[in-house]
Amino acid sequence: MKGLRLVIMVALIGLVALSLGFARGNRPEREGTAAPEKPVVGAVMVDITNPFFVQVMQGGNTMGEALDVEIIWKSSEGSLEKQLALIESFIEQEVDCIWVDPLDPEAVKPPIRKALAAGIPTVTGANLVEVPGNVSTPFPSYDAFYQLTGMIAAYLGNEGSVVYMSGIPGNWILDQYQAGFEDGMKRFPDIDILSIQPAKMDPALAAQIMESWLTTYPKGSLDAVVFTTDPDMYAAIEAMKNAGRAGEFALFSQNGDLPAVEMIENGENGVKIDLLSHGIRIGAFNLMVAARLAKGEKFPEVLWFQYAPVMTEATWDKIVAAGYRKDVQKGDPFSEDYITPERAKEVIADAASEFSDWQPPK
Amino acid sequence: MAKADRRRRAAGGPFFRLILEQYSILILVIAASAAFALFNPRFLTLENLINLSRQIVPMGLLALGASFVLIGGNLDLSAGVGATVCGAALGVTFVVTKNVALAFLVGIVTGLAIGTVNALFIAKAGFGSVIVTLAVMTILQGGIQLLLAGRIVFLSHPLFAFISRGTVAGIPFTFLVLVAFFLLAWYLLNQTKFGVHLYAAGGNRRIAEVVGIRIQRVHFLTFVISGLLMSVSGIVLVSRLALISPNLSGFPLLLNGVSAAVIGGISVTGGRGNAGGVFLGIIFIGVVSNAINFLNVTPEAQDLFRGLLVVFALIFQQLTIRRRLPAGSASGAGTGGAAGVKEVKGEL
Repeated sequence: MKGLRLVIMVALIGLVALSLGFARGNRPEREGTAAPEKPVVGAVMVDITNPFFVQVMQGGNTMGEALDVEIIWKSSEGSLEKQLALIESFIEQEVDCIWVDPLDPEAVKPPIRKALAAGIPTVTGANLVEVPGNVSTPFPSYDAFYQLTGMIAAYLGNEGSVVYMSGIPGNWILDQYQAGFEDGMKRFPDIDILSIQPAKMDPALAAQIMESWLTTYPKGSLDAVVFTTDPDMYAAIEAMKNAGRAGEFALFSQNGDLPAVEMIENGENGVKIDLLSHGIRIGAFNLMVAARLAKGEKFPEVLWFQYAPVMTEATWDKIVAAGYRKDVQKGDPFSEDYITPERAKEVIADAASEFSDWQPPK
Repeated sequence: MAKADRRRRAAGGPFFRLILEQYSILILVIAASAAFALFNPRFLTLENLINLSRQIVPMGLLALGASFVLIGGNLDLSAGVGATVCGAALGVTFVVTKNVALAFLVGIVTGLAIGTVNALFIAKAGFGSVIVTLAVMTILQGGIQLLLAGRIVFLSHPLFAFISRGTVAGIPFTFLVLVAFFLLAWYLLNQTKFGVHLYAAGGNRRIAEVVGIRIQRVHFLTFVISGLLMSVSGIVLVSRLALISPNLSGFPLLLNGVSAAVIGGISVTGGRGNAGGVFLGIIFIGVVSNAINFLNVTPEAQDLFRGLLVVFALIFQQLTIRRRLPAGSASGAGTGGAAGVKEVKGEL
């Protein structure tokens, strides 16, 4: 047994060394490999395993190549302590800009102030972090879903029954989507919200929730299902197919994933409107801001990242004819009134070109 | 004697106590289902029961694997993520090769490989099961990210559709698979030497070694069985969703599976429990999860609601198990050596 333990220990040491070598190959390092003139952006993400954040990294990398900056990606793995430590580490490494996706917009303020005091510009994505000198690129998530409810109501003729599959309770952005949805729906007293259930961004749970709804609400008693994120919608669609009820309801979601966009384009499964945020766009936008800050440019302290509602022209005509009008609350969440699926696919494929000449609104 | 008599009368008599002790989990399931049906009558419709029977399968298979490991006195924390890795391996193989038979083979072999790795570290090399399986879980989490690179992969094949929604005589196919595995488990635990050795090894390792039981071999097999069951669980999971995603429920699946096993009477210290109890345990957990959606429990209160019900079930089950034990045998873990082995087998 002792001999086996020794063999296992040696094998493990070898595996660890191998994995380190593999991992180092995927991350650009500043010392020794970077051209001295190339600015370096330190990016601290919430995690890098969720498909959304993988898209963010893809978009960031594409924009980084276009703007000739290097990016060091780090994952907080959902831990606030780790996130704060990573920011401090980037300060010590004297990167040219720090881009953070904060787990807690209040808790990150001290290291953000420290970075700014050290002369390192900062970008905080998805959240409003009010520190003088910091550039926030928040999602207008409340407004996005507030506006979406107006579209849903118009699509349903201002009456009907809907259910909402929310995200992770306690996650600020996802909670804002829910708040915007609930407040927006209050404008339409003839639309009933029958149920709100959290799928926690878990497709298996999303399928289970949908199965319960299909059992609870027989044919004709439910008109629309609203999702916080496209992966939940895909799992729910599978549950609908299993029950023989795919296409019975109008589906509305957020993300703008390619499969969802294609469902809208092809009229499949009842998907009507999807708010295009898309990780690739978000990554490209934030990296663009970080890269230009690293090169010495100045920006206003709040730059709202804008969604684009994806729908067919027929859907747009229908909701306009039913009386839909934009009702801006805190800020306009949409870059355009709507975009077609074809245009959405172009945007997803080439996020770098969408933002490379971007200028902040006056 | 008078005190004992008064206690018996207060408990409702020997017959009521017997029912409670032998069927505590079944009583829990029935009581919970009845209570939830009062709030929403559609809870007990055939449609929902069919949904429930499908929903419990991935968790149930993990619970069964966890049971073998727990009875042997160990713990497998890698099972949940392992199931999603097996599902991912199956999915990626299918997408690349378009060969569904090969994909299934890869899924099964992946689970067996994970189980074997755990077995080598724990049973052969003697490392602690908690730390080894925790480390393997972490490695698997990284592995799935490398495998999928954050993508969602859609699966489309008639076999996945059949696994997802196929029925045999109106009963979901996957539920029948679950029942078959439980029957096999019952046989292994109750009718084979392996079962006797497993209970002995988990109940009192020292005595089991003295009487000549090959503890290493027994523990090795439990982790391989766990690996096989995690692969089947993963296959069912991805077939049900027709997709593979890095966000698939690995850890919640494990948590629910182990909870179901413990509620079903499996002792976390080893040497006690049976397949029938675990089956009822998974039904209880499935009923609770299903009911949370049916009762429209607010998102903020769901974890609290689920946790309180599970704690209640554990306390209820533990109180009735304590009554079943002979005097001086607080944990019921076969402290009497060979006599303990017989006693444990007698409970089955």
